[in-house]
Amino acid sequence: MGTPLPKNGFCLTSVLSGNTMRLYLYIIYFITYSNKTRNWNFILKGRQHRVITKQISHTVRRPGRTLNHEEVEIPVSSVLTTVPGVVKRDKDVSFYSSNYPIETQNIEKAADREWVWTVYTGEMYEYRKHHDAVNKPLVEAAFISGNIEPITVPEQNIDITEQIRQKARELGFGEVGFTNFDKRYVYKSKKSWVKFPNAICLALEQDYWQTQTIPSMEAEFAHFGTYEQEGALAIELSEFIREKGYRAQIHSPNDNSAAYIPMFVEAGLGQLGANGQLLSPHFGSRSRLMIISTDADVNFDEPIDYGIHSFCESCQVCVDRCPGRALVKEKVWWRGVEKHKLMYDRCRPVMATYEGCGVCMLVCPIQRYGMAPVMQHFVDTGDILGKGTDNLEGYEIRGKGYYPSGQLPTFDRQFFDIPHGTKDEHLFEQFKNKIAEQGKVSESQAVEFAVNIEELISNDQTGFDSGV
Amino acid sequence: MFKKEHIDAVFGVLNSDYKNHKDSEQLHRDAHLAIAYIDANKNVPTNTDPIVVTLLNKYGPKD
Repeated sequence: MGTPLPKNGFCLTSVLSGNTMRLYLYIIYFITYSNKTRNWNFILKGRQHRVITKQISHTVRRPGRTLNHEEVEIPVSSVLTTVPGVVKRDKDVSFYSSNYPIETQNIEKAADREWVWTVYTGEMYEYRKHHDAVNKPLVEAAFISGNIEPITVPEQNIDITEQIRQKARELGFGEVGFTNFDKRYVYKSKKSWVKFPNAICLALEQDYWQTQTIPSMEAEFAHFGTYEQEGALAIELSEFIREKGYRAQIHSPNDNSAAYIPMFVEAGLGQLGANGQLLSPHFGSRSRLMIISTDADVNFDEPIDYGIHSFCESCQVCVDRCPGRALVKEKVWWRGVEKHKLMYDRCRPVMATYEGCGVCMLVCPIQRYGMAPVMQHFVDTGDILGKGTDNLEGYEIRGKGYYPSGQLPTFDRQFFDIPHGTKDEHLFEQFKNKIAEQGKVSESQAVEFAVNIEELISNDQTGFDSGV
Repeated sequence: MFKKEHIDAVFGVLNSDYKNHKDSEQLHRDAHLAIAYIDANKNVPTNTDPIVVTLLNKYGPKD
């Protein structure tokens, strides 16, 4: 099955004669040229064929997935090139950061983050409680890590960048990169917490086969288990940096200080995908991201054009397969960046109800096969590897059934009705609803509302909940 | 084209008979990539584990 033919083709008919059978064979050619893929397409005997003009813009070379794997080469088709990193307007990014700073979901979406516990299955509820207990000391250690002094003075004439990179790779981080810690992406509530100017971007791969069972408890074990592992590895890496004479602050993957993906893109570790996730060379979005900031004088890496911006435009598998229809086909300009903007309210209910969902991660061909074979296949054929197949696109939703390529689950309208906003906004919303329902509120209800608000203020909650 | 029954059969065996295999994860990666190539009418990569090739021949679509 091929792609739809473009309209700018031409048509000719030829008549051939068969000598032995004395049959006239009519063959209709419909020949077109696609500017988008730079391929010739034609129909012969009712079947579409394609003549590929292989054009590679550049080849990206990246270290292997682990220290035991060989370097990979990723051919980027000339039709996929845009810009290294991300398409953005720096002036706009700065404007929004200054005037409308972003805030962590732990605070801004606190109401629905509490609500998720009410829709978890029993098994998920118990596992989350277990995970939170395991994770809490790791997050607390990260929180104070920037206050710890180095053990020694920095050694002269050593390549601290490569020493840190090598140590991080030995610990198991699959992607390691260095860039400026861009304060424009720091959350409002964390602006005074961030201490050091340089960012070490670290991605830890999530288990392959467990992730292919998404959505499932097995996949959630991989998801949360990776966070637990990553939190511990970060402590070890930060200690290594202090032993080298520098300061290190751990930016936990569970109590995020900033939007991390833009810094990963700047460090050349991938590009932003249509699913809103970092697509990195070896595991696409199947990784968990964190940062260690440091005062070590590291050398910055450069952003890279992996071809992802255009690739996702052609692929769109995550958009087409999202159970909640939360992903959008067209990019928009959002806070100075051109991107596919996720519709949170359509994502969250599915994610909470069905074991973290993650279908957008599951069906991404780069997650499944790795960037090198996917990009090579695109160069060879102009097609997206796995697109339209049940093996890539099929998934099962607990209690609803199996959905092969082309079929999606449906949900009631009420399913998407979730609490919104911060905790105090949600309390106020509930209070207003009571007044609307009852005409007035009792004194005890007013006191209860005041006590709840007072409790929020006195706890000065950062919103940390050990979750995602 | 691999359908659900073919996919379930291949990965069912990988998950039962080869769960403790030293290269269990690589077998899964190989199987997914090989299925993608077969579905795209391309040859299976030459470095695909023979265990995977055997399973795909046994449980894959016959047409």
